[in-house]
Amino acid sequence: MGIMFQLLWFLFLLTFFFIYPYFGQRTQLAFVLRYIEKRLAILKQVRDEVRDRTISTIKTYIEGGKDSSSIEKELDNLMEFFYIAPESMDPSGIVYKLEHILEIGDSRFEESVARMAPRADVHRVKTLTNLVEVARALNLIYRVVRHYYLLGRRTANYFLALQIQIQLPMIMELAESYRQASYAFLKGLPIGDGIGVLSAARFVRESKKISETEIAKDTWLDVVEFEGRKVFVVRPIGPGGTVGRPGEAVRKLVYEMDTNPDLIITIDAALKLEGEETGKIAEGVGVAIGGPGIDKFKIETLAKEKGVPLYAIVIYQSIIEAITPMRENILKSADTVVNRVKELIRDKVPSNGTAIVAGIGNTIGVGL
Amino acid sequence: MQENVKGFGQEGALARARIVQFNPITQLKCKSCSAIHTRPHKDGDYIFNSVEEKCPNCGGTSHLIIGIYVEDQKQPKPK
Repeated sequence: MGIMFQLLWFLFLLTFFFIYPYFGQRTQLAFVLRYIEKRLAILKQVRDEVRDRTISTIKTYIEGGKDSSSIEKELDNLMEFFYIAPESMDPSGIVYKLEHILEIGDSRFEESVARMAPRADVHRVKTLTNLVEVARALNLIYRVVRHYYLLGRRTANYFLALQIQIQLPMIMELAESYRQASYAFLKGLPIGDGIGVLSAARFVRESKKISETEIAKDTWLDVVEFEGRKVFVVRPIGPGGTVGRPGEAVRKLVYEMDTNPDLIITIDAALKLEGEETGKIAEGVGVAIGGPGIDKFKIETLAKEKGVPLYAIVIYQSIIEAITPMRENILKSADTVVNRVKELIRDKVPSNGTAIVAGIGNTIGVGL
Repeated sequence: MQENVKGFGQEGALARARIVQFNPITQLKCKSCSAIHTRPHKDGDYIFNSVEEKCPNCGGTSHLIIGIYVEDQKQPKPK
């Protein structure tokens, strides 16, 4: 009896050691795939919800009697729209190639939205374009997660599935941000990212205005006098959703309008670290501009060439707060930012000197 | 491709996907007495737009929108 038991125990251990490594991983894979499946279903739901919301919003701007099915088809085409990054084997001039490609893409989006919603005014078209971009981003997220899920399942590759599982909490947070962002773009509400623009606008309103003009596409220039100094304030034109071309505007100011700034200040929203307070303001050096880096590159290049100091003021917030309706804490920080800008100008720019202040961000819901 | 994932746990997922409600507030400054007051956001409001509304403080009729915000709220935990 004792020998029988020992034999059985030996067989069990033998089976366990040789078979478990295979079946153990299969079991773990099943758990991981189940985890991804659930979130993939939520991503699909969020994508469809934003798509439907976008279509119903655009429909309110079509002319009476127009067939709305063409809108759905056009929107689905835009949701699959892609950008091909320029070749980087020879990186010389890549920034301007990227700028060219992005400008073509932006125009294509705006033209399509203007055609779909002929009754929308120019600002509304820009806001609706943002809404379509949100729908496109959610579609891309869903497609990528689905790709890894199906690939992991088809190849029964635990590590492939694990990689996407590790990133899913952040991906879900991003998707939720986009979902809430669609609400802001639907209603034309200011978003957290617009705090830089709002601060620049408040600075203009508190100074003596000399002149104003559209300096670059979707970008407004106010020339103001502040305590004997001449300040050029650059910001996107609202209240439609756009970020303008701050880099191009500053380049024109320096090279075409022969401005010799003593200081360039950029004001932008920045992503806070976990545990940090929303609306916290910090000051540093460099160019505070996110996105693909074209505007940042242009300002850095001219500043180096002309020897202009670059200062940046950032307002911390989370990714969700940056693209969803502006929180009270963020709005309240605008006055403090304006005071910091004034202090910097007093401190770094001599009397009768010149400064450039650039308000960076999406100007949705913020007028001129 | 789409069919491959259709149906897997979707019913439960739909129930869990929460809707976040925003109640945006518009902050106005009276052009006559500079008093600041708030009201619920209306369609077409944007910051630095002038609106014709009666001031509860001085009875003035012209206001400037100086802020639009939502009150800070707890975000749902990522799933």
